[in-house]
Amino acid sequence: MIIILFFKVEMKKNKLLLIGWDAADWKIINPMIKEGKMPALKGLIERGVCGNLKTLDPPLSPMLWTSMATGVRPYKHGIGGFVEPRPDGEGLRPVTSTSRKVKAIWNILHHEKMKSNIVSWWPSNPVEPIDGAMVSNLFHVPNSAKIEDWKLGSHSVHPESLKEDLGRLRVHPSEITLNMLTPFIPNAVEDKELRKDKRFAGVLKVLSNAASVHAMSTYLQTKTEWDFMAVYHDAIDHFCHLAMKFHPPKREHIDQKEFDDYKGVVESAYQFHDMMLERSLALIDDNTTVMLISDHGFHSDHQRPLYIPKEPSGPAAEHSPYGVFVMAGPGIKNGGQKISGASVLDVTPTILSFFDLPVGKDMDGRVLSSVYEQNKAVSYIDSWENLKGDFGTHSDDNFEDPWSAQEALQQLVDLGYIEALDDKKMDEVEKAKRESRYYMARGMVNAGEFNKAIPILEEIFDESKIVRYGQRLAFAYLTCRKYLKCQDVIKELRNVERDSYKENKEKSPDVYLNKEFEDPLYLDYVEGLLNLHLNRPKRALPKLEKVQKSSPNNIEVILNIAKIHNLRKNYNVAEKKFIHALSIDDTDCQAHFGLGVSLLKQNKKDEAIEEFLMALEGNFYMPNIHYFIGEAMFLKGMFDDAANAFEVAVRLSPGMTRAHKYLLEIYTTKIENKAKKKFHADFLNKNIKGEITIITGLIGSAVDLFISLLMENGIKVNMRESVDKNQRKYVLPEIQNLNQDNSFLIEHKEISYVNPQYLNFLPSNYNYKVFWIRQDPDEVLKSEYEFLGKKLPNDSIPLKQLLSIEKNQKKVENWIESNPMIHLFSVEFDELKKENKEMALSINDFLS
Amino acid sequence: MLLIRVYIEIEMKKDNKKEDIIEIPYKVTPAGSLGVLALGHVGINAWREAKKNKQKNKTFKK
Repeated sequence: MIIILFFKVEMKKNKLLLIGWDAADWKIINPMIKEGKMPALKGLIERGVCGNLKTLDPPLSPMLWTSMATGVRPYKHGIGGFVEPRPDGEGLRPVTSTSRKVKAIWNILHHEKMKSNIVSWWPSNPVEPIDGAMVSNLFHVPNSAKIEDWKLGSHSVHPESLKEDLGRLRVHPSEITLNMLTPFIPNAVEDKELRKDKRFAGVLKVLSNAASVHAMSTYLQTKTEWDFMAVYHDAIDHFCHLAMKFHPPKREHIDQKEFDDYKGVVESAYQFHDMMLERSLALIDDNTTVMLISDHGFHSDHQRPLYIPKEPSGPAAEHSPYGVFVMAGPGIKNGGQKISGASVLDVTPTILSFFDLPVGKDMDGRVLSSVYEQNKAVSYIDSWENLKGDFGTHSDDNFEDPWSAQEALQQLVDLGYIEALDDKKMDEVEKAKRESRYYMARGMVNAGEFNKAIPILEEIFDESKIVRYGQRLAFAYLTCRKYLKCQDVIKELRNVERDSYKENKEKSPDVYLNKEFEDPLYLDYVEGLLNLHLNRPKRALPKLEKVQKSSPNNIEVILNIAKIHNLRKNYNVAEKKFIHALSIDDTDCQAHFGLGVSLLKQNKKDEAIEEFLMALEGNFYMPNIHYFIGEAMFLKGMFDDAANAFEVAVRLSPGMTRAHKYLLEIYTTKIENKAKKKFHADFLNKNIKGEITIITGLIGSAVDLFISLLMENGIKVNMRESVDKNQRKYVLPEIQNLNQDNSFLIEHKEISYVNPQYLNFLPSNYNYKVFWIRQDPDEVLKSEYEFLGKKLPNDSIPLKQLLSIEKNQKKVENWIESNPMIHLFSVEFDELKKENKEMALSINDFLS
Repeated sequence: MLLIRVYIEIEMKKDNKKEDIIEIPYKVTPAGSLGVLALGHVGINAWREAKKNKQKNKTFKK
């Protein structure tokens, strides 16, 4: 008799350990690994993959760590800064988990019957009732001077049964010994006075916090069953804010003794984290995957700011744009392979894919598929927010919008039900609310959601006239091509700046010590960019050069200066500028790309390709880089490689006409491929029929002057003859009623004038080069009267006509905003009245 | 028979706790060290024990 026995073989599930090191930066880690000072992290990298993790703006930790845990941007998840109003109206409190409006990864895993341990995530107080354990970010923060008085906070541990055990593992700052501090501050052993310094106390406190978090996490790692574990350490960030200014190399303005005392803090912090990592790795099995991340980096070289802006969250000026990403485990690539293009938004989607769970389409991040050895299929659902069921979240009773609660409180005061809140506290709350809205608006700008950000910035700037709100508003207007509004805000800010400088100078001889600006010359920077956008490089360059002189290590400024030189075809100068930018940050993708373009234009093809490939390392998903690689390869006669590069470019940017044109050329004359030739030909026929150049702006003396300038330089403009009432012959630009028939523009090759009211009737499927002639409405009105042989009345302004002129001017601005793909050349009447050699050269460059 | 053997092996792996396997003597003094903090909860407990007992040498399971 044969008995067949069946046994259930339980497959070991893969587990994921996520470790967060706030502010960890490759610029510190890489040299330390080379020197053998971080062996645990080195081993992890060698077993897995690594890369940069791009941060968001604003780079504020509670917003970023929530984005990492949810996969969405701050304006979606609702955590808008460090603080929020207290429900009792008694001022402010640290931001809480109840302010989060979307589900975090642990909520999703709870719903999917997986256990999670979450230790100290920011923010996680009050804790959520998930399957597993949660320790809030406030649990380990001492609330007393002595350990025996240290209370266990309410709602800070789930389940409650773990509270006592975990409470006993917290390390109080008073317990930290000199032995433990010696690696950080060696001089503290001998120097008793040093031990009274507030920085010494700071190091002690941060170290005790780190030890507490680590102790609780190793306890949960070994004593509980879990599928997912996330541990957040804020210590590197806090150590760096304390002591990065003393990190070698010593900067001129730093006191020698302070440098000697604290120069070892940052490195010791990283070494201690490596030791903790080693322990955490020793406590997992081979089926556990590890992910190590940071939310942003921390400037550690010549890019360290010389001062911290005197504003809320000012210390964020020390943060740098790239954090770290490391991942190792079964099914993950190994050998320390580099992955690129990752951002903090990609963490949750990647974790979801790891657990074979669908990613929400409403998430802003994507799965980092390149980490996996084998292609991993990714599934999607519309949104985890739509699903019903138990997600281990707070009950609806707990959830309240603290800002709305504050409003409700005020209503009760207004109705007389409760006493009025203290003025100072109300003021505090109002400021915090405005600041939170400012951060959200910055987040929207970062996401390209300018239409959402601008109304918020307009409102808060209007309410408060705070300079940095105005600066951001100017920048948002600029990016949206609302050039007139940008100019207006800059004018307003110049007045505020003037008054503020005067006030600060009276308070302190050093203006930069007491500033509320994001950057001393931010307005000059925005104004410089505005001129660049309006194709006025001659005006842009001096502004940006002034900013660069004052902020020599501001790489953005140098890049924009270099771009101007590229635009003006000064490729040799551009090359030098891009090289300068790379001396500040040799990983900057834009600098490598710009240098590549300037080299290519000088026919240095091989060097150009090298730079483009370096740029790709920073961001593979930039279509322009692939396009220029294609161009370089084409010029070298390497048509297969050129075609590959152009194909990637159009995959990333399907509407990239110039890449399609090159591909059509290649498949027509260089490589036989009828199908691809047809594909690209069809695309071009369907989408782009050609290029049209027009002049627009209010008809008046400025337009006349500009057309004269063009014709003097041999550039043809569509004109017709006419006769005035005195039988005098004159010519004027041909003006057609485009709303009836716009074929005129297609049929005529010369430049045509288009009245602003007809801009929306321009034929689509054409690329446009646009000369936008700008003149004050008053001047336009005057020239209209002069043309008609009349005189403008002295005692009354024809207001109706003036308003009509302003309305037409607005039409041009609106049209430009809604057509980002046009090439724009903006001309002011004042410039036309002056010497025009430079203008003529610029016009020729633009037309070519 | 093969199936049974496989099942038992897997069961054994499931029961193994890394914490119980390796024994390495580690000196913990009342003055403590960064290494002790880096060990996590076992290090904290051993250090506090050392402080309590004022023992110079103490071994513990790592």
